[in-house]
Amino acid sequence: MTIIRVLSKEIKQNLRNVRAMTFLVLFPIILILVLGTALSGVFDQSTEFKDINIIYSSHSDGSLPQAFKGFITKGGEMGFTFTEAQSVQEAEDQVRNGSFACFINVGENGLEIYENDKNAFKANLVEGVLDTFIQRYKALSQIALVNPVVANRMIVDQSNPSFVKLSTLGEPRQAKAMDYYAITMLTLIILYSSMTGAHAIKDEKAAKTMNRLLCAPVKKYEILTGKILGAIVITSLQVLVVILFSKFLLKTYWGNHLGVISLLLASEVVMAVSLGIGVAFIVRNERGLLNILIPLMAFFGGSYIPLDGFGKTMLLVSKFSPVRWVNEAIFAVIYSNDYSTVFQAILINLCLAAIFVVIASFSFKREAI
Amino acid sequence: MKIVKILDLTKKFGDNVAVDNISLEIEEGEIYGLLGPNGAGKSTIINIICGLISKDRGRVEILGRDSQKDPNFVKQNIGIVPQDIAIYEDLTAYENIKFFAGLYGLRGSLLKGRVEETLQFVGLTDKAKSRPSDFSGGMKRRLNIACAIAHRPKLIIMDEPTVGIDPQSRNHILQSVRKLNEMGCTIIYTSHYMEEVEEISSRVGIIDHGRVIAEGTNDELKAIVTNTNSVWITVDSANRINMDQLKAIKGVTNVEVDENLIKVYSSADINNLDKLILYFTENLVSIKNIESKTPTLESVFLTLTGRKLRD
Repeated sequence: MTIIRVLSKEIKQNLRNVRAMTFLVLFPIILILVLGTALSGVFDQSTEFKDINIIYSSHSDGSLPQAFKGFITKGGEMGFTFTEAQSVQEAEDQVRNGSFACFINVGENGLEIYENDKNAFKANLVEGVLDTFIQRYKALSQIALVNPVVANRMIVDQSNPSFVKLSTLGEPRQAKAMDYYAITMLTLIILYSSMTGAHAIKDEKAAKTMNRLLCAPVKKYEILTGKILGAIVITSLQVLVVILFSKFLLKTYWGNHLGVISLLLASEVVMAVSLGIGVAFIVRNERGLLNILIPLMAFFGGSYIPLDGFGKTMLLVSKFSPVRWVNEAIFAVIYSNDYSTVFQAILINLCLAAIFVVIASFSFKREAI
Repeated sequence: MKIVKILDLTKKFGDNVAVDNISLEIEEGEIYGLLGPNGAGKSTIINIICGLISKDRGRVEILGRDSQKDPNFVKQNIGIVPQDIAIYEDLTAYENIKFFAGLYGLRGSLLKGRVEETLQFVGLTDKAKSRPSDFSGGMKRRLNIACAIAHRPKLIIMDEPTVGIDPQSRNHILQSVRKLNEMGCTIIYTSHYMEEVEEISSRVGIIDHGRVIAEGTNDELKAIVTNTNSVWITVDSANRINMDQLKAIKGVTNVEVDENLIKVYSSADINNLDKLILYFTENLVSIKNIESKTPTLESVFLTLTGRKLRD
């Protein structure tokens, strides 16, 4: 009963904090609108692959080098520029000095791609297209084992439809800027619910009401649980408003699995609120610390811009941001029906939440008797 | 029946002994005044009774139950009015009382009834739906009290409940304390305002440096200082007064100057009023008023500690 009383009080207090409520609802909506409009060009899928130069070597015979010729033709239509290398060494040097996005060395049994981190974004694009080509090649190889005549006809006829359907962000629908920022700004603003969690503790102390609570015949875990649940409920309401606004008014795409997405978002809410409550107990200036932590987690989570083109180091660092896992899982669910990272993302959030709650409980226990 | 029984209570903060082997007993139905300067140990004792901090040694019993072994029973029977106003500014007066009373297990119509009674008791019925941010300091103090009494505790601890409020609210609070006492509540009342403690307390404990240095009824305590007379003389200007000469007058034990008010303390067995008047007239100091003061708790404290309560 005490938990419900504290929970109800927290909800009431938060709902009456018009400034904070307005900020946490309007801020993501404005950001979605501003970034979604301003950066719409970056996400425009009609963009051709201009200025992407590829150097390649394909001297050997065999089915793969033959098929690669088809890739060169298709790639040229897409805007790639291909240059045949005189030697492997020269090609690698050219990539190293940045003249080419990558070097593709085609052998009889496979191909190698040589990239430079400086051109990681362009190289990644080439890699993506090359993946499609390889999948198609593998499929044709399998067909050739059964019926070589048909396979040969298909290789010659480049207009044949793809026999491999890739489930990527690009198929069947790709995220526009507004779609992208609807998700990333929402997961960003959820991080700010750590402030709600932190305030639930700090405001109680500032108002001197914490001692009054502790004088009552209640358990500390009841106070803590009520406060955590209160912050979770309030943040969930804010999240719901933003989702509804973006879905129905901004017409952003949320896919057909809102239930799974809600679970992912809820796990992030739990993590963020617990982070705030944990920080409130161990740091005097919780606002300062959170104001450093949140933008970092958001940046490395890809909230402001996609990190795909920033090289492997950045991608490695991004793994330490829980937001990255949530964003990745949400995009995978919405655009690929891919649930493989959902459990992982939820687990990461809940584990982090558990750590922060343990820190908070331990600190709270030590504060008085 | 003894509602509070403290035995050999000791609490240290590092090297500082905040409470030094204190023993106290408070009878049910008393208004017990706890007096002492800042840092004397009053708040530490209160916090230990309320279960906010742990003790190092000793025993605290409330209504015969050990506060450490049976904290929920003890907390259920205590209402604390903290020195700092501890209310939620964003909840209405009604909601504040309802929330805190609810923590003590009240619910439904009983809770509603108690909240309404309490609002009436502290004179805030017409402000039930207002938030404290619109309240005066006195109204906030009254709400602060209301949040501590709605669950009808047997022991109410009031820590400086009248700090910084207007005389009207102060009188209202003092009346409330008496009414609560008449209703059967035992009250521990701490205040810097000696006259308040003197006015409402049935018994007083004076605490200094973590120890109880005196305890008893007002009369019993004043008896400690009946060997001292004090005369307060208001003059036109205190500049011409030589403190050493004044203190040299036979029987004078201490002199204090508060602007143009000269407080002269003398041994009760020596009548030196004529000599005091002569000193002032000889030094061409015009006397505006003379008052012979009966002993107060302030003078008791001064006598016992050599310091004023608010030093």
